[in-house]
Amino acid sequence: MKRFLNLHAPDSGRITPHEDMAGAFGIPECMPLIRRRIDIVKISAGCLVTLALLIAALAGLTRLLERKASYSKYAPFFAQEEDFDVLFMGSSHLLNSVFPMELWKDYGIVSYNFGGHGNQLATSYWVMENALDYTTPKLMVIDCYYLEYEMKTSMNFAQVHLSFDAFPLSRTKIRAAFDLLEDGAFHESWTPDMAQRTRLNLLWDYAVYHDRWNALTEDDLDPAVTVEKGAESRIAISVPNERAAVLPGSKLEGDTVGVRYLERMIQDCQGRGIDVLLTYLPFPATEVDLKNAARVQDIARDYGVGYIDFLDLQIEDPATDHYDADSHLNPSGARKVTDYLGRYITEHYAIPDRRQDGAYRDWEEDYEAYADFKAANLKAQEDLDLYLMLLKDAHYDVRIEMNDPRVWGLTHVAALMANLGMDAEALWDGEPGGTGFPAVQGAGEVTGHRTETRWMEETAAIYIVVLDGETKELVDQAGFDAFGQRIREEG
Amino acid sequence: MLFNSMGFLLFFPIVALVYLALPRKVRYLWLLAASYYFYMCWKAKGALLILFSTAVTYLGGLLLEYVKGLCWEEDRKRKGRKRIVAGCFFLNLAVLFYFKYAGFALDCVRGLLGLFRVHADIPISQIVLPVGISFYTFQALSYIMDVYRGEIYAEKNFFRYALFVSFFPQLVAGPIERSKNLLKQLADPAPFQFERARDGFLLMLWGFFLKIVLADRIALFVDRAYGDYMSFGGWYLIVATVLFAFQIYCDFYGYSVIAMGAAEILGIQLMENFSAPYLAASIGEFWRRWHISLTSWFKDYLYIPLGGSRKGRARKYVNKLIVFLVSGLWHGAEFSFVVWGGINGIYQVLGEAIKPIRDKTAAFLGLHQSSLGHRLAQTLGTFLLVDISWIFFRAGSLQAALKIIRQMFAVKNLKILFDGSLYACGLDGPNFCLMLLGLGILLFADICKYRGIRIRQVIAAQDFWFRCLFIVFAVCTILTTGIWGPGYDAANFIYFQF
Repeated sequence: MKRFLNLHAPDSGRITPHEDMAGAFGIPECMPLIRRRIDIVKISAGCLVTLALLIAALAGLTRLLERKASYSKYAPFFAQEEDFDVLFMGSSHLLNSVFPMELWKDYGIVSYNFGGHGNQLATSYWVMENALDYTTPKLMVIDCYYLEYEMKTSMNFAQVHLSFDAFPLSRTKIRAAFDLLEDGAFHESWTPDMAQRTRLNLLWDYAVYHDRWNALTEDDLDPAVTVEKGAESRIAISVPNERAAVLPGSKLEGDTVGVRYLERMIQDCQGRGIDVLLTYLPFPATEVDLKNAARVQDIARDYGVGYIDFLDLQIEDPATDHYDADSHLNPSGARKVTDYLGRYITEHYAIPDRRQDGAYRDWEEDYEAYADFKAANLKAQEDLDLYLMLLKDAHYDVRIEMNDPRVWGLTHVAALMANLGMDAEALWDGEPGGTGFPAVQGAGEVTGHRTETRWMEETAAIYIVVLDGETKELVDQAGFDAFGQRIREEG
Repeated sequence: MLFNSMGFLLFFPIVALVYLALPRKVRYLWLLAASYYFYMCWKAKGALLILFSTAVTYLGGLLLEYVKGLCWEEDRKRKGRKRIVAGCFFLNLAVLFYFKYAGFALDCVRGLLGLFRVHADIPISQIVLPVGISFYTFQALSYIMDVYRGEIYAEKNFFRYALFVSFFPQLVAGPIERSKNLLKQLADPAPFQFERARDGFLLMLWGFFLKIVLADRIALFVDRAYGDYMSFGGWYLIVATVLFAFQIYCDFYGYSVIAMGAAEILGIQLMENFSAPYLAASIGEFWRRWHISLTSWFKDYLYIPLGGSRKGRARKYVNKLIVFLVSGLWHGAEFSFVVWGGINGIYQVLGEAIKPIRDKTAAFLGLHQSSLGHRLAQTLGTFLLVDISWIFFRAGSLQAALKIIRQMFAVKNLKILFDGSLYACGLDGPNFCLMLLGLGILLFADICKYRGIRIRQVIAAQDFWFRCLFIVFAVCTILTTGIWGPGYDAANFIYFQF
């Protein structure tokens, strides 16, 4: 080994035989200047090659190690070549409340939900700016939650990553990072993740994700893609907090960061010829929210844009439509909001119905995947409450057979039945299974499915069959015991 | 600015490129500016202390030469020169004492008065320890001693001398350079050599591997166990203590190697600070291989002036004990560091005192000094002794160290070594395995070093593509598996706030 080293080890400052490219070109030693220049070129080229390989390797590693949630959320957006007609911007309220695939199916609206967890209006502004680099919609729907906030970003910086990771590096993204991280409202004591709050981390997230090397899964090689076009179904039922009262005429005063960025969003859209519709999505509002909603009314009037105050409309049912106590809608509530928005947009804006447009044929396939996703959600449910909540879907025919009146004693069931538009008491005629399948939604025949599941019908306290409203194909059938737990077929 | 920070990764290339672009005669001015900027990134006011130390020792050096040139009697000159040295030492050590030991001294006084039930209102020290003060103070003092001994001429150029004291690669954690080595290089910087820069880059990579892949990973385990030693007793603490030996080695060695690599790229060779210390076969050898720049500093400027081994065996042992006690105090203002130093001093003294008995015992048992088994036993024995002393270094206080030792033996939980429970102590399974793999690489590198094989030369001797791919692989591995950046906390990604 040592002899080997002696042969090849470079002395300080001398070119080794390997380096002596000039010699290889036959440049004699009496021409030191030319030899030196050739060596410099060779060394520089070697450094550049090494640097290029290093950058390529790091780029690959960055992609591999990144958390894929952002890519999963935005993949369908980037995959579409045609423009979107409607983009939705806002916080998680919007993320959980508007289902673009339902808008497509019912109204032919081509839209994408850019709502993000904890997205302040400043964050939404920059998400919008980045999105507008890739598409030019006809309508921008902006939810105005967080209007009173002085922060530009979520306190949980991971949520900011979720909103931005998938956007390729661009001038707009760099501007976003510089603006969002110049957040005067943040103090070190506010959040434990201050170390993450650097522009570099937002632009090159390798610093954040590099130690995911031991958490990689198959999903990192082939990330799952959202079938909800950016939206996110949150399956739970919670009794919401009580709605606050507010004096008539009181509204948010002053020029908050939220107000400034909302106005920038409106101005920017108007500058680009994009219509704007403001919303204040439904949830158990506090006094502050009600004042915000009143202020949004003024802003909408000042800029001449549309505004839907869902806090005022109260189209959701507090007993069935909330995911958590203080803010978000579950799919039952979201479908009501989505349907309302669909009708409103169709009536008030010139948004084309793309269902017959050949350029958007992929959306029909996407809807099939979305329908499968909804069916999978149904099949996965173990609780009667959640199952009934998910049945609030205009695209399902639902039939229910009652065998045990104890089911009515379960929390939420009566309200969920009412949410489906039926009188719960009327289902029970005193004879288990005696009345067959009263129609709840739709009127399709289901006889063929009954015989295959006779055992379930006989043992279940409540037995439900769900059919596709259009094709009348079976989506799912489920039996639940008197405690509301799903009965699974043995084996 | 830490070496393992994004700031340094931007700072160093800029400094190096500008340095190489400048004419050689003014390069030191650029390095001086960069060094002060580097230091002031921690605390701008701290630079005043370096400036003070620099000014005192610079003037001290000039005065020493001035007095040497005076037509005084030799005895008067000697006394005058000694006073200058003493003055420089006093001023520098006073600053060091104030910033590093004042709190400790007040605690001692408070404790002492408490013993006699005397209540005095002694304030609790709020002084913040300036980064690297122990290192640059010792470096500046070594210069004064070297000028006094006539080993070097006093540096006339203040800025060049200021750079000697503040040279950024070794400013905050050594190695503590000697004026003979560094000042000469700063005065006559070597021309750029690609092979040398590449060598320096490889050194830096090795340093980063030691620091962020190994030391900082091991720290996760050790900090957890030592931080909650009442919960992690028995084998958790034993494993943590063994691992701490490697943590401190990788941390300190890694920093030194990065410093050497950075300096090498700039064409300046710093002294080697570690040389496979855990392969040492005795405590004496360990200290010749561990923190070499500090050990040699104490040898040259404390042990020898105290009389070294010239005044008999008893005095020699006392001198060694003094040196190690002071060394302990140098490492930290806490009794546990003094005990740590004392233990190592006792190891040395006892080791030498019972050497004849050990040799006779080995001969009686028929153990061959050159056999692999004997060598291995010596190495493991030395490691064990060193590791025991590390408990006092790591524990934070003497009381905590004693409690930790008690906890090690109070809890019987050998099974944790086999049932995966170890992975609940700061490092999960993959990270633990990665740490073991890294330690294997370190052991391999140390064995190579011990045998005189320079791995960097082996790499440099390969063809371009091997070197290129090696560098790409090494950088990617270090960046991916290193403990740096804000880190990915899966819990952070659960949507707990909306």
